[in-house]
Amino acid sequence: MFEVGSFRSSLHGGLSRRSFLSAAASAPLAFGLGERAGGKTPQAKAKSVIVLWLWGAPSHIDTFDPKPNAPSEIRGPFGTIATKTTGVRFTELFPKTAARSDRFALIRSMVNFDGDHLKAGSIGLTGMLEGKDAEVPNFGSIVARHRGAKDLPSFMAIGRGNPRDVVGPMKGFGGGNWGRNYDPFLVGCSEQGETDIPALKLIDGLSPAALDDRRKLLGDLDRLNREADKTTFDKWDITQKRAYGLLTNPDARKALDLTQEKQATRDAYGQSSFGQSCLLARRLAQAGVPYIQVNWSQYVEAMTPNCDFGWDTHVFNFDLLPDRHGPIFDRVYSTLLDDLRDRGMLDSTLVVAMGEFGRTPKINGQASRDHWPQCYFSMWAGAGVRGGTMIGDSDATGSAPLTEPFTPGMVGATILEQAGMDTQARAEMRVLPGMRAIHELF
Amino acid sequence: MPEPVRLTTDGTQKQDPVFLKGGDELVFTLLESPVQLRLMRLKVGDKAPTKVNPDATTNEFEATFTGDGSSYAFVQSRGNLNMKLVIRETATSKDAVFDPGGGFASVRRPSIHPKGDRVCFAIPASTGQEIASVSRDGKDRKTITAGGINNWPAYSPDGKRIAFCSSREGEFDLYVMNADGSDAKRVIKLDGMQTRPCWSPDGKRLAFTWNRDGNYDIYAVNIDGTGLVRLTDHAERDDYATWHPDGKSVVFVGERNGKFDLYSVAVK
Repeated sequence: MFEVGSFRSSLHGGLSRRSFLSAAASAPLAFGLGERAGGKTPQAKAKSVIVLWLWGAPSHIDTFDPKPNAPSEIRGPFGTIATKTTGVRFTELFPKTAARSDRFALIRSMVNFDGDHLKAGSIGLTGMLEGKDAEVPNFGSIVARHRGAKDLPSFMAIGRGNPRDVVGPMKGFGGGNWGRNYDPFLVGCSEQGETDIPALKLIDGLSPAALDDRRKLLGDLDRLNREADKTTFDKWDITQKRAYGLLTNPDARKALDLTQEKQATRDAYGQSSFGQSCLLARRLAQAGVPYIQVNWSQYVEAMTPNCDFGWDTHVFNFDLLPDRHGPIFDRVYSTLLDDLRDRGMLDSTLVVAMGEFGRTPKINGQASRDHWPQCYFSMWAGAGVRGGTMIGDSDATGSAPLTEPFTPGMVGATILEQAGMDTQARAEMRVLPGMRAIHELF
Repeated sequence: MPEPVRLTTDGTQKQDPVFLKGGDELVFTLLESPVQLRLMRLKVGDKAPTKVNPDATTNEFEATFTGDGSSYAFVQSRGNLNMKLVIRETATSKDAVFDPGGGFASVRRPSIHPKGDRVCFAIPASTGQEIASVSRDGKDRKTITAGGINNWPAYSPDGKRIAFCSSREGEFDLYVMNADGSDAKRVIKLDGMQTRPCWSPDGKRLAFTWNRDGNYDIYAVNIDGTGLVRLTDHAERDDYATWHPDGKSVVFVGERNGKFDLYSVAVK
């Protein structure tokens, strides 16, 4: 007898747990099916990739590609500040990031090929134009397939669900036509750092308290294992099997437990969901997860509930950015770079921050900015990226690249190459054919 | 510089504190959950706030009260990127609503006239973002000032003037104008964005947030631009100042160790 309940498990003592459950017996550690035996990737400079997915699309002009000499209807109301990189200025909303510009590279000549969030997002996370209409795999799914599984899922996403808008979910969030085996394993993280595993399905009779008692947990699982029949087990879906494997793996549970961190470290990331999510991403990278995507979503826009607008600031752009988006991103991104460096992880962790496109250079009739796929930015750090470099540039109004445009496909080729996939490996999987990596970053 | 006194301890995201009842109570906006902003009331001296509108299921934020507390206005989110102005009689909970229209249309940062005759707010317009006002029944919209991005209007205690910030001369600077929009003057020219002005009870000074050297702190200045003083000095964010009715302190939202609480700092 199995049933589904619901609670949240913080996976450690002393915190509330509402959760949920259903499951059955002897599940394997179904964290992904590797293409290469043992998941060995000897050429990988990036043991882990962390993608900060700035869903909704940040204004490039109001963040990292300001145009202080442009007319006011383009320039906007924010001042600009110097960075550690000679000649490069950011808006005044990002002082901590500016002070660390020597640790990351900035691309200001990104282009996407659609102005719709769902389509551009799918292109942005798959690198494939067909991704806007068809289901093709996310970069994380490709890395997961290449690396294979160990104790933890190879592709994990942190956020309040997969990216979506009012129309529905984004197609490129996961494995696409490769199947659910390659979807990200989704973990939520509250502003207090409680982890929430929506897919976790436990077995009837296994109390939430048992999660803290490994001996009891394993005993219960053994009992239920005996009681379960093969038919029930076969009915489990991949997310249930993954969740089960995660539950029974102490190292995995430890990786998800932010209370293991020093309070000072948790404080440094700040009490925001995005902040604690990025701390969780660092822990997962530390635990060996090859690909982690942190979704910036409803964390900052409670004023527009029931939809995942993120950075989609069609109204009150010049209020939201200095009040919420700017301070949160500035604190969290700079802390993540510091944390990875201080732990000696930056050389082996690739951190990419990007949205699906930019926003209109000319301020719209709502005193804000709309969608602009013709020009946007991405930020790259770690895994051999030359910090303090600006690659590509935009024109005087931020309307178009002045230099060679960089595409989501090139982003994907670069990520995959750093994760240990060469052109041959991509060809074998039939992903991103002909795409060049952005070698200017290294 | 006096050390701020911490008024709350939960660390949850807060914004927009305002005093009422002569300084005995504070109302502020709390990020109750990732999708719920709620107006909260805190009796000064208590640690635990209570809900202003316990039954509210929509997001409500940015409350502003008349001098006698008989009416208040706030922003209510009734759809995605769609925010309306609600003007409520405190005793009867009778509402008047100013609806800026469908789609991505919003008003924000309301300030109610001390006598409740009108409510001014920021609203996008073809000229940029203007300061406009409506009567207490949510009708009779009038543009008060336009040109550039204008935001964070605040009626003076006597209702005769409005402080606000505007990009009309470049970046966000601090301005004061007559309540009808005439005679708008920049109070002071500072490097770095200034936001969220609030009036001292005697109407002679403004407290505001200044992004000086990349950090938000609270400052005060006479409305003629003289007497600039720093009220907070912390490496993390201090924002959302509101003056105590006795004029002797300013309450603000302080970020400490990544958490957000209300603090009070003495003002000379």
